[in-house]
Amino acid sequence: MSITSTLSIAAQALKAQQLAIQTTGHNLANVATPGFSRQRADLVSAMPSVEQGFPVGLGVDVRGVQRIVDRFLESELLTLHASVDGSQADSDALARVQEIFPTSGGIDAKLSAFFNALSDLSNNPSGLPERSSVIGTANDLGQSLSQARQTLTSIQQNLDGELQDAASRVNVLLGQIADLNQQIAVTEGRGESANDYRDQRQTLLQELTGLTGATVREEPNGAVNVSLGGLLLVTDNRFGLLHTTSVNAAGFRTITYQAPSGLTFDATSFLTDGKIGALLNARDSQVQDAADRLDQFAKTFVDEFNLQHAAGFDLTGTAGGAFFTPIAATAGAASQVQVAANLAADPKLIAAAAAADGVPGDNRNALALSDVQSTPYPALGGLNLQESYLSLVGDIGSQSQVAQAQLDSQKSLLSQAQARRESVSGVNMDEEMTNLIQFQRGFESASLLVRTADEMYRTLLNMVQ
Amino acid sequence: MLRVTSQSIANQAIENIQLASERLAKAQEVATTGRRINQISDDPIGSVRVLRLRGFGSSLEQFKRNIDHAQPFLEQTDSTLSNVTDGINRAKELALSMANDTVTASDRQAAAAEVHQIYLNLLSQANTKVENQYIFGGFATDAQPFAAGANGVDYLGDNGRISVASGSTSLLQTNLLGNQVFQGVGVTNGVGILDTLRDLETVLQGQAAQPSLSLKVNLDSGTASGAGFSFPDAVGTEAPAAAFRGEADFSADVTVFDSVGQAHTVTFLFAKTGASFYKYRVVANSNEISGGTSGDLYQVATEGTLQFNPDGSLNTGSSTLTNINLANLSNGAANIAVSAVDLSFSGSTQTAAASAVIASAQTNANGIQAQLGRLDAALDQISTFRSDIGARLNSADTARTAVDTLQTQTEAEQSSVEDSDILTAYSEFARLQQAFQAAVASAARMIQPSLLDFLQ
Repeated sequence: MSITSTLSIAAQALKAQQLAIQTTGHNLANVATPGFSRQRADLVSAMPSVEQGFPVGLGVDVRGVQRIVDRFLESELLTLHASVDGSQADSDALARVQEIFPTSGGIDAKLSAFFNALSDLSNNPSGLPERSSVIGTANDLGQSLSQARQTLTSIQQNLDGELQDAASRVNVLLGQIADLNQQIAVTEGRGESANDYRDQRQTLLQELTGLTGATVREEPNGAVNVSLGGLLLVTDNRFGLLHTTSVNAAGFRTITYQAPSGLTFDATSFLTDGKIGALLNARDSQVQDAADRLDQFAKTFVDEFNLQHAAGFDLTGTAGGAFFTPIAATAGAASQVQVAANLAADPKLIAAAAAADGVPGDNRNALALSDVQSTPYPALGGLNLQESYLSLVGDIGSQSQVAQAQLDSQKSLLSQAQARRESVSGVNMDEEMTNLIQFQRGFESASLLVRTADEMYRTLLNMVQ
Repeated sequence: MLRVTSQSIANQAIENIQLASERLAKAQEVATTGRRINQISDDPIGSVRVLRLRGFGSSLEQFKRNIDHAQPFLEQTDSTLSNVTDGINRAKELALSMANDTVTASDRQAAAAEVHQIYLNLLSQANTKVENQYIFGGFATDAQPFAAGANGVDYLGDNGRISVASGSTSLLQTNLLGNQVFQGVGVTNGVGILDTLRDLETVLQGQAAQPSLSLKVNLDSGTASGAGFSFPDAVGTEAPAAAFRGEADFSADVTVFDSVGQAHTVTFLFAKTGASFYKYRVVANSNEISGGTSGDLYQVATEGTLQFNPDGSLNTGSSTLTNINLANLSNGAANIAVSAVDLSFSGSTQTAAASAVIASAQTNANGIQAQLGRLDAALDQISTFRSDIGARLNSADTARTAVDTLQTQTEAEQSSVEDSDILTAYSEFARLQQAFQAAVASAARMIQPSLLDFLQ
């Protein structure tokens, strides 16, 4: 036992308290940093030495600076990010689709207006204003259909653009994660802690899983493997890339994976989760399905109406031709609903009569044309025009509602998980302030110990004089 | 113990404020638009119902327009028929007052002039227009359906029945066919009203009406060709009624008037012998024949043949026409020649009606009397059509009321699905506004206090 060891305890304590104060300062500085996990100076009492047969404490030791995290919670957060970002993209796309189908003044209203105009025509089959009104409402209906169809295409194009942005962001993230993997492996290989690198990597991983729904597994050396289905996106410091340069038959981008080895293959089918999965699903399934159904509706309408129109005769007693320009293919039919040019130029060609007599009062075909509205057609699944349209609207509405509800519940799960993470890893200022005071007092006491030891030395020296 | 951190307080506060403001914005939208459903995802099932109801409402509105369009046509038809009834009644009055021998020739001339006016009036009634459309011409609404021709008034319209949609599955016919109303085509015991007036005028003017027989019958081309008649055809020969009629493909009962104004019923029997060839015989019941055996038919004319041109008209050159020997009838006084103009073949029914007048003397009150029977039949005919129109006007009214009721129900239903209750909407808005203020105020208070406030 010597004064020197007392001094050494004091010096060790000063160092330890200073380190603790610095860690507290680091925590306080990052109180609002996203993804930051609070750190704690790991202080332990030093192994005692045996003096005069008694174990005597040798002060404080610093074992390291620890990052306080719950690993299960961190990996749960990754999964939740994937589902929230996926639901968000899904619900956004559907919200845009449902705007095409408003609760008033939509395609159904134009359809009613058109058939009402036909009914007016049957009341006065020779009236030119009635005939012009049939053409006018038909044009209006055609425009509405075409606008809806084009909006659906432009939604798909926007989704396609978002997909490209998302893929390039994924590439940036993959590079950064691979980088951090290396930093962490090297730092921790030296036996040091890589707390802040890990926080940064965790933040990047959250964004990556949000985009792709990739799975993350940590290796013993501290690096993470990121994989998607069977594709390894990141291993150690090596990473693959997603390319969006190829297009599919519909003219939309597909996703090609380029492995670190340089091999490439189509990864579109692997991307089923996260934002990219949702974008692909919305673009190729949900929006495409709505477009297909609208096309089927338009094609059936044009075909059936033309068929009935051709069965009639116009004001001059000539057999009716096509009312709408005939549409050959179902794909894109909704944007091609147009009144035939000769009819638009001469409304007298509307075939309101059922016989070739050219008598002005014959309204039988006009009545038959009105029936096209309420006739069920096998091509529309046995529904009539209005019901077929309404079933499309109902489905879009339900999908959008479900997506919204799903998003809400995923978000609330995420925010609960984030609150739990905050509770474990977050910085509480009051707590840190209290610690700060404690460490400050510790520092002051250690300083006092130095003075005491100094005084003890002085006393000893004075005894000698 | 759950650790509460600065960031979790901040996050919680932000989340609460966002949630409250989102709800507030939604409540504000509901309160200002007055609608519970502003996007289809607000209530997909409700939206589809609203759209369906709106579509239904729009078609109801159209049915109303259609019925409103039909109404003037039906009303005009009704009032036209009422005018026709008045005209016939006046003609009947005149005929009654003139049908005795004490009336002078000049009185009859005056009456004839008035009957002529009635005839002209009824002819113009038959050519009535509504909204610039002739209402008695079938589909031919642009051409005058009736015109005076050489052998009476001709019908130039067609058999088109014009209908409007008065409901999703119901049609309302808006017109009557002029050839049925004014010429009795296809009507049991039908009378040519305009022809009757002309005959009455002729009789009153003291000129003998031409013994004319007007017979319209549709000879169906679909009937298979047979051999014709097999019973002997000597005039005055009797044959069992059932057997005789059984040989015919078509028959038409015709009323003929003899010179003393007595009406007789004779029957034309037609048998198809080839694609455009027919044979016909004229027979009368036993009660028309002096000493006839009850239940038998007596032939009053020799067999005639008919051949038709491709356009349906009678080929006179190749047809043999015959006389009806009225001398064989119990009161008969003269023969009626069946001539080409007597027979016309048209219409869509296989029944036919015809009449013939024989007036031998100018001032013969019986000649006028003879027309009275036809005028009575004409009144019956018009009143049948009037009750038809009355029923249709009634059903138009009923349909209109039904549509109105449905419309009110539809609107109420639509509103109950789509509209927000304004009181609930406002109180909800006020409640959420308070919640929002509470969220903001509590956030302000929660974030502020810190240990720092107490350290000097």
